[in-house]
Amino acid sequence: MKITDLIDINCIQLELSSTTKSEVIDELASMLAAENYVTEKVGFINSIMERENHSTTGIGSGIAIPHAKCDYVIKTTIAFGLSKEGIEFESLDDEKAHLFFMIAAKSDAEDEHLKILSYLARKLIDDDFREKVLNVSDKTKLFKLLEEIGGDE
Amino acid sequence: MAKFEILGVTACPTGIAHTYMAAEKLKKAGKKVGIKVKVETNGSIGVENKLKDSEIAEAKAIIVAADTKVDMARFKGKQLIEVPVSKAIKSADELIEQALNGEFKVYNK
Repeated sequence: MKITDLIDINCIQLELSSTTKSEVIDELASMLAAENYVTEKVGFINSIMERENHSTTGIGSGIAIPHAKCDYVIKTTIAFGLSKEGIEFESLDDEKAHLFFMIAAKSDAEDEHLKILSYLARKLIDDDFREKVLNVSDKTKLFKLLEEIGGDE
Repeated sequence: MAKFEILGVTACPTGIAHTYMAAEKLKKAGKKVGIKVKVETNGSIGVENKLKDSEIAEAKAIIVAADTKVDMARFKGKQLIEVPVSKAIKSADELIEQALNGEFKVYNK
């Protein structure tokens, strides 16, 4: 299994229109709801915000990974968004976030899925990888890049 | 087997992202200064890379970067720092440097 198995091409937005944290969370969650990966958008967003209120998932270096593991999730999925302009996300380094990986995990997510998510998290620390993702121009290229993420840990 | 100079434990509430990013950051920060760092992750998959008693005994210092409870009793008598998981993501280099300089207090609870 690969990380790309958890990404739906319809849940990718390479040109996010949002300009604030709450907007971008809504924009990403809306894609997941539209494709029926989450049952109730509002409930799911509340779970996401609960995590954000605990501590921001804007981890710095332009990356944010809002995530929730809850009953509103039908199938563990990742929504991806890119903002060239950047969005204020209360990041650890006070810089704007450009890359958004929204992780929707089922309450009883399979270990295999959780493992893959952990590879993604680790990979996002890699500067080269991050730089490449920031510069993707289309969804196919993005998929190619994400396919690099494997169980090499 | 080469010993690990510094050990880490990471954990976060959801256990699907920060736990692993913090672990990766600490390992990377160690690599930069040429030391071996082993990090135990307490994530949603459960505990991985569990620290062995012998590794704890041999390590110079322990970094616990966790927002949830982790097993601490095993670290009694070791130089240790407890920080939020985000601190390890943001300031891993600094934490490793402090660990190597022996700046942590001895854990004695």
